[in-house]
Amino acid sequence: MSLDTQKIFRNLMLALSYPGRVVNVASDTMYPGILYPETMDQILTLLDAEVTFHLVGEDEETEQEIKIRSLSKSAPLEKADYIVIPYSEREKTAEILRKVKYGSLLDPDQSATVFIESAKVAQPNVLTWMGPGIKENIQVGISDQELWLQARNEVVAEFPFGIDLFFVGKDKGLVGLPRTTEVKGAY
Amino acid sequence: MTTRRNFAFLDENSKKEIRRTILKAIAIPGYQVPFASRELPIARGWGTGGLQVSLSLVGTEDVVKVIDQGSDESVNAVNIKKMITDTTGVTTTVHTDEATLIQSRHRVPEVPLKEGQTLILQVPIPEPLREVEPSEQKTKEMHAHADYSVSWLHLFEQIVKYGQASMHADYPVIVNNRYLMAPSPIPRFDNPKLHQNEGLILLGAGREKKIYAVPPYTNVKSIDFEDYPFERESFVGKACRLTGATDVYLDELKDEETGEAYYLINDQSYMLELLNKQEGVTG
Amino acid sequence: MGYVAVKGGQEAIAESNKRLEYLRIQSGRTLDVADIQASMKPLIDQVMSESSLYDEELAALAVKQAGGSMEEAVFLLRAHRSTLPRLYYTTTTDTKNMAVERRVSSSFKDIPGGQILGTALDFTQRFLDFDLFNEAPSDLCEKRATFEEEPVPESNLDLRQLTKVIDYLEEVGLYQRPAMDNTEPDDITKKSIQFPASRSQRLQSLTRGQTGAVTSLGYAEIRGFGVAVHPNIGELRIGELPLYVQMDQEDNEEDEYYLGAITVTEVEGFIPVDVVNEAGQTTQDFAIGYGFTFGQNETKAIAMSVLDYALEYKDPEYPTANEEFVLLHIDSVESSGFISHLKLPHYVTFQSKLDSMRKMKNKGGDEA
Repeated sequence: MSLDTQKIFRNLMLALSYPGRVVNVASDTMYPGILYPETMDQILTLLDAEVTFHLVGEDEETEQEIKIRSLSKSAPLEKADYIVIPYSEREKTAEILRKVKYGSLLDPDQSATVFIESAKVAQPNVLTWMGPGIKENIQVGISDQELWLQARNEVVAEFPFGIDLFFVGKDKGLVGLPRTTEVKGAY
Repeated sequence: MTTRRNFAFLDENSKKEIRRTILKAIAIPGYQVPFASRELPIARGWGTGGLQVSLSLVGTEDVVKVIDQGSDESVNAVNIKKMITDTTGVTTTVHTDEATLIQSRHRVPEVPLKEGQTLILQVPIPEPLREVEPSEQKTKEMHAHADYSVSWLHLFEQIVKYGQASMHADYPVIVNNRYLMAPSPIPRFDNPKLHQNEGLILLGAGREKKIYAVPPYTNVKSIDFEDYPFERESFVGKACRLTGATDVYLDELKDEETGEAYYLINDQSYMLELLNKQEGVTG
Repeated sequence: MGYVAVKGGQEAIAESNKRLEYLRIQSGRTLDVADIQASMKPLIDQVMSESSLYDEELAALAVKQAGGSMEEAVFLLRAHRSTLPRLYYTTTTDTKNMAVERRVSSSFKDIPGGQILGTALDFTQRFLDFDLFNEAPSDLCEKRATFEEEPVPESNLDLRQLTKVIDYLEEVGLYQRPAMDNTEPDDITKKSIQFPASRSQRLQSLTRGQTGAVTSLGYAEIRGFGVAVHPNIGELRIGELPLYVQMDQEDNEEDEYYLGAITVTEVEGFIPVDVVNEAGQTTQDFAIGYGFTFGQNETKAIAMSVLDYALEYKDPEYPTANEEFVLLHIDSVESSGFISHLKLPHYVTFQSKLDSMRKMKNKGGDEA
């Protein structure tokens, strides 16, 4: 297996640099486990033995696959560097976002990056996003936004504390949401 | 005994660490994210930070431009460009608007960045407070609490002493209304280019082991006082001898015969593009 | 006819590199890597230590390629190290198990096993030996034959089981070992050093330090710019240290695989330190300053032990107690890199400075 980690990373970087814009990350790899292949592509590009992850739900087959391919170790939710919330676990998103590490004043980078699987990352029910990476503002629609919006806004309210999110859609889109983005909306 | 070289020199794990660091840097604009920083076949202090960023980003589809002091042909730029092409075979260009990745020492190109382009600046000293505080531990605390009074005090002292700011290049800026950042030794003239620019700007300090970023469309403001606003270098009354261009950063040279000073655009590829446009030449 | 960039830079570099290569081969003479490895052992040891990479053959290659420049050789080897995949950490190793080649103590005359001088330059007479101008390989063969004919006296001293001085002192009640700290050590090549530094970060920085830099700072410390005035070497031992790796996650000695042995230098220095006891009285105890290097690098290891102590028992009056000052400025690749970068063009920044200075003078003129 030879993942084109360079290409995948450039998409991650694009998504985080221009929050709200949908980047097409369709995968051509098959993986065992419960995650979308696009999600696996992203996390295997970032994980290695130097960082830890937490797969919400701890599906054994998926965890094993991640560990074998990346040599990364799993860690409890509060400590892990990279969190993955499978689509099947999405109801728990708000409580998870409130538990993961959000950095310190001295080391704001020692905070979690969370991958959230969604049905769609390009759908009509929109919120307004503003901030670095966004020219004025952008309208963004991600399915089930009500599951995470309030919790996320709470956690990023005091910059530089915060967490950074990536949404991976079943529609093969990737959207980045760094802690610097202001998200306003109906919720 | 021959050994196979990795694509873009660095091994996969080194690249992963640098990539993770880059993402954190984008999420926390202006904040210096520490990273392990590998030694490269080019000396520390000669661009290894910028190079590690470039090598971790570059892929076969990229078009790379490397400049030093505005020149694509300066020995340092050529050396770095050679290292990148030797280890990747990637296409290079001198034209800013054709490049996907631009690694630069001490200048921001005159041609504005477009969305999707990445500018990688080489940084000798990433800490904007270093001149006033040698201790890393102390400056880290200052950043934690946004306690930048020493920087303003330093500026104040300069104004009192010289009637103006004496920082000529690497003039500190505030990014996203929070972190004080060293923009690298670009001239003051280039500071305004960082503000709300369309492309991504990454800054790499190899020896000091820090990567930081200015995301696109981000506020970047040079520090100043209301009654002593930030001033760029002035080229009033001066123009490029070959193109007539005025509002660009100009190099001052001496005419060997007349002894008079004359000026040329420092950004050499931009000067060539202007000249060719003026002559009606395409390509 | 379109304007194109002048390609002077590329040509200049190409010509400069050509000249460098020409000068290297001009005389028709060169050293074989094997010659360097065989006859320049201290150079190899220094390069391995400063590069933080133990490989005698590669170090010899680096020395050859660098033409003998220490700065260059270390740079080459470090850059090579960057390309190597990091597969395992060895298990914790104990220098008790060293196959000792040389072991001395300046603190105790009678140590178990005695003072073993081993291979050292310490007691040679430093007169230039002009006979070496005419030394031929055949002379070496003859000398070797003469050596090998000499009878070697018997000894039942097991150099693989030589008691450490510090263990002996503990046995006889002259030293109390502090509680073991089994925290996982940091690896500064995987995660950059942060301040305040942990002891493992400190020791790694020191062992990789440029020999001259570490020696000078250690010298300053013991000469008066520090608290460790006249430390005593409890033990300096040099020999082969066996290394093992664990193949799987569990701590099972049977799963340890022997990798090989490396030559190392270890120094344990005794330096008195003030201790306040429960009754509020101030007495003194011995603290240990620790020095360790790849290869035989005695001066550096001793200086390292002095600096380890100075940074552990900090007296803020002295620069050697400032860990950022010491640890951030002793790395050969970093210090030589940044110093030499001053040769790079700084035209734009310099011009910016000129512009700034002119403005100042003009302002001054206006106000006059």
